[in-house]
Amino acid sequence: MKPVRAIIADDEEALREHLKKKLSSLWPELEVMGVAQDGEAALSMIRALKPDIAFLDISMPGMSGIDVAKAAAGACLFVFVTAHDEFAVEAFEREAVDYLLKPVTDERLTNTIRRLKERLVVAPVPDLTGVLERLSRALPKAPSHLQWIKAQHKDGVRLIAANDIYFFRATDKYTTVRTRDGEFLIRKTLKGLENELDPAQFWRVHRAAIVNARLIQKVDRSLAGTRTIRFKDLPDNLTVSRAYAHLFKQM
Amino acid sequence: MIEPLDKREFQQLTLKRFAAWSVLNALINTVIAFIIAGVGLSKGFAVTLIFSQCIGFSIFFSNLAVLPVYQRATRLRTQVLIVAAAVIAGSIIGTLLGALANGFRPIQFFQEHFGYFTQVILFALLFGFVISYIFISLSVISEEKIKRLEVEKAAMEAELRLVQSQMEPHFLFNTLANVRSLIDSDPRRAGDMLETFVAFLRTSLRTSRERTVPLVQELDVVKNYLDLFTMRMGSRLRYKIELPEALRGVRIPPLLIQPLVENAVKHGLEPSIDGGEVTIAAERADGRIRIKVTDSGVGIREAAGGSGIGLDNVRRRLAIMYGELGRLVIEENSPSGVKATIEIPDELKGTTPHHDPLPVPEVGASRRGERR
Repeated sequence: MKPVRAIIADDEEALREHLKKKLSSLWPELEVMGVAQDGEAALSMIRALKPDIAFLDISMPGMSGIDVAKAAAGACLFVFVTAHDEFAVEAFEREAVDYLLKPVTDERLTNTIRRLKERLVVAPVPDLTGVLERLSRALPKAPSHLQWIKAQHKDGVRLIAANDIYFFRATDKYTTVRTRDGEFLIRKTLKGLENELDPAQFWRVHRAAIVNARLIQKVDRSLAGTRTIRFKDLPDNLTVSRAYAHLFKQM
Repeated sequence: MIEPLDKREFQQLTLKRFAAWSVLNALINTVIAFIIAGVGLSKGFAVTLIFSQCIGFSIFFSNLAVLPVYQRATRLRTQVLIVAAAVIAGSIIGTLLGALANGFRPIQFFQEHFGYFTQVILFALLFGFVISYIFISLSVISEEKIKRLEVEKAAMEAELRLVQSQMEPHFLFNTLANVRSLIDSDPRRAGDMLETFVAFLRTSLRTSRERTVPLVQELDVVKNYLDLFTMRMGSRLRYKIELPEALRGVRIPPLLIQPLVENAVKHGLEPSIDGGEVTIAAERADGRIRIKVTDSGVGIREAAGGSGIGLDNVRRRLAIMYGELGRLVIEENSPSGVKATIEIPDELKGTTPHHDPLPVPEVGASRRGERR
């Protein structure tokens, strides 16, 4: 029988070396062909060296271990290594993959080795598409809404957190962004912003204004029925146009 | 009479509350009438009581009328002026109403009983101001109390956040996994790492429990944190701390810089394949202290997460401690990464920054000195 070969990927050196050492003592016949420090390196290593097993740290710079397994699906068996079980790792056990929690213990690694040996006999490599999909969903997601606004300011680019913005107002070619620190001009249009911002937090209140609902202190209503928005710690007001008055009806 | 001065109370003006104030107002007016009648400065108790009620309620309603303006005023001086105007207007209207109610014709009353008229107006103003003053003082005290509570709350949140980030599973388990893995292969480094971890826990916990700390102590926490990550990330993380000797003792609220450094490492350098450098630099310029945390990491994408509870807390604590004078500015760093700058007033040049912002004369004096 040809020797079983593996690669290890982890961005932290001590952890890489530790796993390598443990494997060599618990599974001396296993040949560790190489170690990778990030996801992309791991992927090219899998493609070039065609190992039987890849031990992949889940959080690595660039590509996560899950991304690597998705991209190299079917190429080899995967064992995920992670510092804690935030990724609903019990899913691994039901499916044909395995996982290790750091710090890796001898007992746990022995179990994994036994399972890997069994699986290596039963070819072919199982299809992991389903479980990997579920795992990526469990990974912390980048929010899909705009969280930061970049604005040219003096000779640099200011990064303004969406939470700090009181309102956006359309002015000629630009859009004015109002924060506690002052006003900034950006090129994005209100229409574009409306699509990208979190609609639960940012409300269109006027043809020319979007407001951060979290920073509204109160909405005054005049005898004529015009609603005016007032903010915490800010002298500026915004008028609500009739078309959007329904947003504040119950307030 | 002028109870509605407390803003928060008044925001929910209910019929019940309005009735309670009216009754209180009527009682105070009656007491005042007794006092004036008692010292013998009146044309009989009934006349005085009618005057007192008319004036009291006029002032009460004037204050109600100016309340929306009052609530929008942010400065104490403006608020006092608004109330003073309301008291004066209320006193005059009340006196005229009182004259009517007592069966005088106002113009005739003004002409024929000028001495009495002045006396009534003076009493109206006197009591109006005294009672307004009492209520304003009470409301100022309650605002100071609210501010103190806000400071305490924000500090507690910062402490809680620290504990959360120390106990954050990824940080905790990864650090311990590193120590564990080094125990066999490199016991010396394992020991060093454990010591650094303990030092980080100890300094950060101690720091979080103070109201303000010297800059050098805060940067100690930062240094331990970065040392720990340097051990983990190896050559991918480099750092530099530039703290001029003269700024070591500058006092800042605790754990103001640490979250910025944490963001730089977590969101800037850890996700970067090549890693990078974090620089923390403090400087004194234009009567202000500036602390910059710069990283050369992956930077912030507009849709990226982590606009963060950490940053919100830093910003809020700056606002509470220093008002307009405390700022947190986040910028893109060139060629890559993020630059976060904290700006606070230089405490050497003013004692209570929030109320007494810029001691301009001193600056002027030192400039003149230089020229000589």
